[in-house]
This record gives sequence, structure tokens and C-alpha cells, in this order.
Amino acid sequence: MVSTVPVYIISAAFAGVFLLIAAIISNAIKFEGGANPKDPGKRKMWFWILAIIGTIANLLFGLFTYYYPENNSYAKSQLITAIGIGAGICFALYIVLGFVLSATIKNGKINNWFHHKK
Amino acid sequence: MSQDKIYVIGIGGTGMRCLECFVHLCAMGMFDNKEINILTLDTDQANGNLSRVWQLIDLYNDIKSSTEKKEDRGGKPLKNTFFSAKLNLTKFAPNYPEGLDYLQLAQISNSDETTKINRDLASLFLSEEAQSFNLTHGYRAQTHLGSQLMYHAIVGAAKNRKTDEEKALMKFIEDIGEKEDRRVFIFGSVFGGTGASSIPVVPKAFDDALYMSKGMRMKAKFGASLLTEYFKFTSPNSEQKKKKGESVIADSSYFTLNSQAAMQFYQKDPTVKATYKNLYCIGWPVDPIDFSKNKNEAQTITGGKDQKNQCHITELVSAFAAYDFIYTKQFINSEAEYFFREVPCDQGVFNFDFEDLSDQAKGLKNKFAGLYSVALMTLTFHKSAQEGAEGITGWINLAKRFEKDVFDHLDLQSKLNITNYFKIFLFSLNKSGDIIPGWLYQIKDSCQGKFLLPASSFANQYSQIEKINAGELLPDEESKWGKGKNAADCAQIFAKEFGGKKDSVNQDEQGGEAKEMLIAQLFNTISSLQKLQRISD
Repeated sequence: MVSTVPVYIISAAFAGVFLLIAAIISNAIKFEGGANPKDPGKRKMWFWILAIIGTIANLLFGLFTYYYPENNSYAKSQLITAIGIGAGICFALYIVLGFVLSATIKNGKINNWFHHKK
Repeated sequence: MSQDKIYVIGIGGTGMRCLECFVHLCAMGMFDNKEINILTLDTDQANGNLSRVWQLIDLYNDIKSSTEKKEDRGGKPLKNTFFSAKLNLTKFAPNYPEGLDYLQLAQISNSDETTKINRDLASLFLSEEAQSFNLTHGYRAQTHLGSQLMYHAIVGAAKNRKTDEEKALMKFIEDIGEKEDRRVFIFGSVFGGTGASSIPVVPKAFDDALYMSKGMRMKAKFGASLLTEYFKFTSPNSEQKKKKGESVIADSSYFTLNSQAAMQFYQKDPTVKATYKNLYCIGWPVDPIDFSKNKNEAQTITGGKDQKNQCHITELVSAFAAYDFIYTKQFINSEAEYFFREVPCDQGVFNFDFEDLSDQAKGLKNKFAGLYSVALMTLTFHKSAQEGAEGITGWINLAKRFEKDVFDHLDLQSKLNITNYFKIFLFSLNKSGDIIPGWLYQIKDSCQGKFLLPASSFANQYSQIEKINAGELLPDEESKWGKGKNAADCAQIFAKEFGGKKDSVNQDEQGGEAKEMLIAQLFNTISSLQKLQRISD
């Protein structure tokens, strides 16, 4: 029997870190003038790219860095399942937190993640 | 001083260009909570400068007009925003059909005995040439004739009251006569024709017209700009003078002499001294600007659509004279007071600063640099300097990103109107990408040396204009909101501040319609960044 809690905690941490990266990139993208500015689309695009990268990174991190007990196939499969669920949690948490942040921090940039108005 | 209604009159070509400057001051928001009644008085209905100021006032009123209540033309007076004053335009022109001369107008061209005495009397004061030139293009520097004709045109309107223009003029005059403390400011030159002829007689003519109409005497306070020679144009040649009706043509080589004689008149004339409160003497100490330059004019342009000259800084100074007059707390003297102010000038190079134009320099800086910055960023950041392009959607899109949807329903025409005003105010681009100087560029070009903002603010290549740092226009350290940054970063600062100002509009003061709120939000944004006080009554 192995504890899967740390796996989920690390997944949550991954979601937080990648959300932070998405926020930094969004703020770095400058407002564009004119009738058809591209900057809101760029922020949205980066948000989703980082959602995918974050999830994959979380998955790979779990697969390549965790210790797998060689002689306990049940524990091993439990851990791999937890890594898979963790990646799902990472993705879901990233999206949920991103949505909450986008709805609450209306600074015009992070807001673009979900409220894509020109 | 909290005059609610102000009256401003532009007379002749110079008067019209002064009016243009005055309207731009209104657009900056220099006349908060004021309803300004403007009268254009010109003999030459086809004059290019006249039609230009009409178009400008129309555009201003289009911007101010309610999009919801179509009958609310020109909107209402507002405070602490751009386009705050409400403008009402009245047009009046003495009716001189093509080819009409004094002899025909005064009906003394007949040869019967009854008119002979009148003809002899006219000949005592007016030369044969003065009596026989074509009046359609104005009084051609014949002020003795012009004063008489303008007086009679105004009084004639009171007598006849038939045409729409006559009725409108009388309504304008009666409105002035309604209250004792109404203020009337007159723009015009003293060295040309129509303005020089009319400034001395307008208060008297208004008084007499009011008396004929209402049996009341005019108690309003009058002020005027006395603009002496500051421009010249091609002198008439003998060929032009030989043409029928063209024997008298204003010759700019006499403008210095005309100016001198006029100033002596204004200093001594008892009617002028009794009817005016403030007279602002505005001179030009360097060579007059040549309005014929680069125009390939073989002959003098006496008027008509071709007389569409660029604006000059003396005209802006005149507009500030009007500002001073309007905001003067009270008039102590019973006789006219004469005002002048010096601007540093060394060997033809000027150093114009805000303090030279107004005692309310801080407020002026805020509004002047404010409108400049907003116009600049609308045209460059929102890429709308080309013909037909508009930059207001850019601001609306930006507001949307900050969850403000109130501007969404602004119609395309309103967006085009505001952008077009910015183009007229600052600059626009033609199809080949060359700069077409707007009003402010024309003013800057009319004098050498410093003019309020840094020289780089008037770059004449678009690639250079795009680099203008709107956050480093003013000399005060606290007003440099973009210090050390480039133009693109400044636009980012402005955009972020603009988004943050979304709930800052005071709808009672600054207007509650989408268009008014957008303009007010732009005003609040730049005011907050520049950290300068606002002008208040």
C-alpha cells in the first residue's frame, strides 16, 4: 500500500505553477490598439497551451521521477493510476482556478482567458 | 464668474480662423458648463475659411448631439470633459449678389434728380472706385464704406425680419439683450476689410437693432480682439485692377499702415471707448506670414472658396483673449480697457509657454496636453490616421476587456465624427501616407521656436509621430507619466489606466450617454495621469 496523497499535492502544485506562468505571459503580452486587436486571442491561446503543457509535464514528472516499488505490482499500478488521476486533477484545477482568477481579477489581461472580448 | 450663456462673433476671414481656434479650445474643455452662441458675420458666403469653421462647428455639434434623442442637437453643457461647452451657430451675411456694388446697393446709380443729392453726398466720402467695386468678396479694406454697410445690414435685419438669416440674427441680438450681464466677444482683424469695418460698429448696430425690435437698450458687455498685421498675400497687379468691379483690391503692402491708423482710431474713438469693456491688442513682431506662398497665385485672391488660409498663432492668442474676457470677474471701468501681454521673442524665435496664454496655466496644460495625447493615441495606437479610418472602436474594445460594455452601442458615424475631429485637430494621413497638417500643426508652423509642447511633438513624418512619447509632453515632473519610456509603453500605461477608470465618470457633470461617457473616461484617464488640477468656474 503506497500513499497517493503526495502525488495529488504535486499535481496541484503543478497547476498552480503553470497558472502563474500563464499569468506572467498574459501580462507580458501588450494591449494592441485598433479595431481588431490580436492580444486577447494570444492570451487565451497561451492559457490553453500551458494547460496542456502543464498536464503533460505533470504526467512525465510522475512517470520519471517517482519511486516505483519493483516487487509490488499492486502498489506500482496504484501509483501509476494516481499519476494519471493527478494529471487530470492538475488539468481540472488549472482550468477551474484559471476561470475563477479570470472572473475575479478583471485587469483586462487575465480576464481574456475566459472572457474573450475583442 | 458663472455666466451661463456666452456670445462670440467671428467677422471676416481672420475672425473665422479665430473662431476655429476658439472651437478647438471648447473641444479641449476650456469652457465648462457654458452655452456659447456663435455668430458668423461675413459678406463673402463662399469664403473658404467661413465654410471651414461652419464644418468644424457642425462636426463639434455632431459629436455633442444625443444619439438617443435626435432632436437634442448639440447636446448640453457639461463639465470636466472634452467638448464640454454647448455651441449654437447663427449665420448672417449681408446679401450682396455677384456683381453688386455700392452704387446699386444704395440705389444712387439712377440718373434722376432725386438721387443726385444722395450721389453727391456719397461722393463726398467715397471715391468713385470705392462706390463701384464688386461687394461679393467683402469690403476690400475700404473700412469707411464697410462700416456703413455693415451697420445698415444689421439694422436692416431688424427692419425687414423677412429672411431666415435676418430672423436668426435678431433672435441672437434679442437673446443678448435679455440680460444685463451678457458678454459678447468679437473676433476680427483691424487691418483688412470686413472685420476692420465691423468691429467699431457692431455694438452700436446691435443696440439700435434691439431698440427697433424691442424698445430696449443693449446693456451687454462687449470685448474684442484687435489683431494687427500678421499676414500678407500677392499684391494686385494692374491687369487685375482693370477688370470690371475689381478697381479696388485689398493690398497687403498697406496692412502696416492700416494697422497703425486703426489702432489710433481704437485709442481715441469715443463710440468704441463707450461701447467696449475690454480690447485686446494682438500684434505680430516678426515678418508677416505669406498666405500666397507655394500657391502659385498670379493675382490677389479677394475672397471666395480659394480664401482658405491656414491658422496662425495670433488667432489662437485671440481665442485666449476671449477666454480671458469670458472669465473676467467684473469690469470696473466705464470706458474700454486695453490689454496686451508679451511673449519672449529673440530675433524672430519665440518661446510660447502656457503661462503666456492664460492665467489658469495648470488647467490649460491638463486640457491642452490632454486632448493632444488622446488625439495622438487614437490616431497612432488605434491606427486611424488614414482617410475613412476610425479609432474609437479601439477604445471601446479596450474598455470591453475591462468588463465595461456600456459603449458597445455607439454607432459608426459617432466613432467617425470623433476620430475626424482628432484628425482636424492634430493631423491625418493621405493615401500615400504623407502628413496633412491639422489645426495644431498649422499653429505650430506659423511661428519659429518653442510652442507649448516639445518640438518633437510636431514631427512631420508618420514614423516619427508614432514615436512621440505622450507621457513626456509637459515640463512639470509630476506630469511626466511616461518618463523614460517609449511611445508603445506609454500607450500601455494609458490603456491600463483607461481600464481602471471605468467607473470614474460622474454622469451628472460629464454626461450619461455612451458617447459622453467614453469621452469623459478618456478625459479622466489623461487627467489622472497628468496629475494636474482642473479648471473650475
